[in-house]
Amino acid sequence: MHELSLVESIIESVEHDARSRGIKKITRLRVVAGELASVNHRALSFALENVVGGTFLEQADIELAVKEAWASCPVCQQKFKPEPPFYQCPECGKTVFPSSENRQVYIDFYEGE
Amino acid sequence: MRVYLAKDLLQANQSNADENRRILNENATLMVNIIGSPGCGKTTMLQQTLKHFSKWRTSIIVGDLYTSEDAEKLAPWCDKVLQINTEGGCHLEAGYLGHIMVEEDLLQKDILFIENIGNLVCPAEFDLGEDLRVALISVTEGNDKPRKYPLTFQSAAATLVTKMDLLPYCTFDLQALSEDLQRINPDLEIFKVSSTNGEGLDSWYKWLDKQLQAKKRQDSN
Repeated sequence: MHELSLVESIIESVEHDARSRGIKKITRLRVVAGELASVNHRALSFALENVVGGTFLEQADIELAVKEAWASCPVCQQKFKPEPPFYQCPECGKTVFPSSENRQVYIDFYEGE
Repeated sequence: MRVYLAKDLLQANQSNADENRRILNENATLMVNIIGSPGCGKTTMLQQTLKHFSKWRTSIIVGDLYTSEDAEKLAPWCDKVLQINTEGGCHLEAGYLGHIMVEEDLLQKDILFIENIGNLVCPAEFDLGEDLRVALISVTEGNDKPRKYPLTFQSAAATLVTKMDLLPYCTFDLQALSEDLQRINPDLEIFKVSSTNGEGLDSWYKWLDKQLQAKKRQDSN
């Protein structure tokens, strides 16, 4: 969902922060997307590679890391990988909604000079 | 030089939604966010609901890409209605909504209804600050929609299965739908309704009134 808008937001956020620190060039950027974030990870990766040309990030080595989703069942304490569309514990069947952590998309860090 | 930002790209909307929540509580207004695909019956259901609760003070924000047709249909039945035309935007967001609900004097009502953009995908991602989210699915859409768009139904407090008068002419499997919804969101209230012949609407009205009264009690404390 809205991968292009996300990338535009990434460019804007990094540029704003970097310029405030006197950084003139970004050499590296790491973005993390939760496995259950409402984005298509391949589309986001594609957008990150192809939209940064001509922007403040055009020389950066960009990494998109997909953070694996895990959940803990509040009933039987089973740790499991929540699977859409039902996100049910494989042991007891309890529905466990994906945590916000599993659905985040965030800028981890950037490097610049 | 390495700079850790840990910047959540989706946080801005959440912060705005939390602020909307605060403003709504201050104004003792219940916000109900209605989500469903185009043509599932959001406007018609709202018309019937507003007619039933004519003594309530109500305001409505309607989101569509273009036209004010839905706002025009709803205007006779509420105190104030505002149409937002996104001209391409596929969902409403908390920041702009919060701004206009204050600017356009849509608060200090019993209920502020939001008829969201017709879309089962994006509106589910954007908390508007609502007290209640209601997801609609019509029998003409197919009972597989919750499996395909789980977040919409997972994040809702209630689902209305609409157009029940057309059930005999559709291959919609109500039992399968109920089983899927039970798995996706065990706490979801489900109402099977027809805005055409009134079937099932009384249960929906009772539930909605109960939520409104609970909100009023909460605010008076």
